[in-house]
Amino acid sequence: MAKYVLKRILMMIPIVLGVILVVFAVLYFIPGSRIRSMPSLSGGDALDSVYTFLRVGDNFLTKYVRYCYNVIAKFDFGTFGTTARLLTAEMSYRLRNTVFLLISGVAVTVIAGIPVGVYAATRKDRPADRIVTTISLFLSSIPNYAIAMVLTLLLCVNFRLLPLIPVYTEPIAYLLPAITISLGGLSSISRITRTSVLEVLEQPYITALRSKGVKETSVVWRHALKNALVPVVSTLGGLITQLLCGTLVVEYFFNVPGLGTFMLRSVTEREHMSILACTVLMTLILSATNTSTDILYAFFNPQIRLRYSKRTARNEE
Amino acid sequence: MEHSNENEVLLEVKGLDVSFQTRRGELHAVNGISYDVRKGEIMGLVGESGSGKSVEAYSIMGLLRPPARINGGSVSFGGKDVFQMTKKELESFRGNEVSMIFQDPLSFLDPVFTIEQQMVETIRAHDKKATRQAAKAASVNMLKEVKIRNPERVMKQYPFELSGGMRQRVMIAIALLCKPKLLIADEPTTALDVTIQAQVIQILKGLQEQTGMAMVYITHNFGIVAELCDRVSVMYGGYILEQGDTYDIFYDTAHPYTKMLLKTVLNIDGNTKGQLAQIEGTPIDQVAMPEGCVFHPRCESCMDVCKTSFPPETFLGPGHSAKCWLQVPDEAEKGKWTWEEG
Repeated sequence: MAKYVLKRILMMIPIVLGVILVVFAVLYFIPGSRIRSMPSLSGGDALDSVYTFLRVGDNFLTKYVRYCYNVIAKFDFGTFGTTARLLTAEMSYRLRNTVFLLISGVAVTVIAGIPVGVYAATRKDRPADRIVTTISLFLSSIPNYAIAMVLTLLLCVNFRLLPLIPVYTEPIAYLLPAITISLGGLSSISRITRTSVLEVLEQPYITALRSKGVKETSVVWRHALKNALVPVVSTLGGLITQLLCGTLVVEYFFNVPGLGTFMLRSVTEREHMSILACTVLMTLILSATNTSTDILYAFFNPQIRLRYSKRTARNEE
Repeated sequence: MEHSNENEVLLEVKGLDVSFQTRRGELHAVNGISYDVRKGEIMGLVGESGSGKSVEAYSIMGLLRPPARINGGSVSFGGKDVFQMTKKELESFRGNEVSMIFQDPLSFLDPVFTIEQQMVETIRAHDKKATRQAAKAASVNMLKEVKIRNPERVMKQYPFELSGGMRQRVMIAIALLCKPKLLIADEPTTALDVTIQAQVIQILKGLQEQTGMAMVYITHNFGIVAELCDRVSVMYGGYILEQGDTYDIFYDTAHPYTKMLLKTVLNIDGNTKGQLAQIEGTPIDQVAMPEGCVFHPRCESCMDVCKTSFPPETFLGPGHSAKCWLQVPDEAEKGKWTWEEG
């Protein structure tokens, strides 16, 4: 198992380096220079000395390697183009907010979606199942900014349960954004769980468990669910990618000081280093989720787990 | 079955009738079968694929779910009606009083739990007071009983890590953990190769003698029946066509279908002249059941009466009965006559 985890983690490195390369190249070859547009540096020696100081003349490869080295070894993302302020402090603050939002979104998705799916499966074709399936289809058809507006209107304006302009140092502020990004995922997770559990419930070993007198709740929530989770976990990986993209819009809507709002602003303001830093961090988040999905997958599937353990030979007698 | 036996009846199936709702119509899986099993007795249930053997076994345990439907009849175990049990009663009845083993041990063991988890869970489902340690010790003992050589190691393994024979023995061990009074074995050796088959049957036989439990052994293999069973019921198209003591079934065979089944058993003496015996035709379509006797389209000695009405049960000796017009004296005479004429 440890070998498997290590292998997955090592596989993240080339992915992150590759993504940096692509984004770095795009930003490098985009025409235009921010330094040239600064009024105080209109030309001549002053401009030359700045160029030398910033090592603008170095070739692409040197710059790429230097950037990667700085990011990986020193966790240094460079500076803002306009103010020369260090990016790292700003990034760590925003990364924390986005990750917190993402984790609460995933938590809502998993904690609510999976039980709802299992419940619907046990009530197959009965009214409760029909209602759950209809609601989930409805939720997955609405874009999340629409949900965000309705939720804000209801909870913040009409019923005044939550502050309209929240303080993002308090966890309660993340409630609405988390619900918003999770609703779409929640409905797809619940539908996949339902289908998967229904399929498992048809399996012979479920009949065998019942024949041993194992309680129906245990048959469904322990045995059927654990078997059904393998496809659910693999969907969850793709879903987190969607949720991360969802945070871009939702952060913007709720004005959360996260990576998403920062990235949008960086793009409009042509802050190359900031765009790069945001991309690197998002890539890190994504490959970390994919890696953990793979590990979870192995956790629920002993066949994969044991492939990497010492116990490889089948027990023959 | 007016057997003058002091053994009390453990399982009594009366007029059990089960059908399935299918797209083509109603599939008649089990059509009013009756039999009983006494304490400590091994009853063989023999028939081709699709003759309703497994459905019958599932209904004893109350395991049938839609689209299966029980249309009539009753199953009573130790005097209690299984169909009237509440969900809770059923859960404590299954595994504790009656247990079941299945044909294909790989698909009947949960793939993502270790053998230990599955065994301990079964014990604790019936004995709330059992500690994990005690349940574990009992499981190891049970694995030893079914001749698993390295029980501690097997406990930690998953079903897919075991060989077919081991899996089947593990399944037997799990089924017998709570010392049931009746074990239903649904073709437990069909998926195994012949040497392993013999081993598994020996283990079953040994455990049966040791614990005195009763068994319903479902198979299509008359060799196993001869080796294991006290009594036999021969099923075809959801009907029991003949039942009796194993000796009677083999040496005083009454039904043409039983005779044909017996012929299909490989004869080591070489009387088959290089040809494998087979029963002509295919099993009946249980959605569109034939009129008259279910077996008449494939029967070698089919008479006119067989095509129009179902034969009554004729008693031929103690505990031996058959449903065939050949055993009804008047009809058999008439049939012989028309048969020779035609």
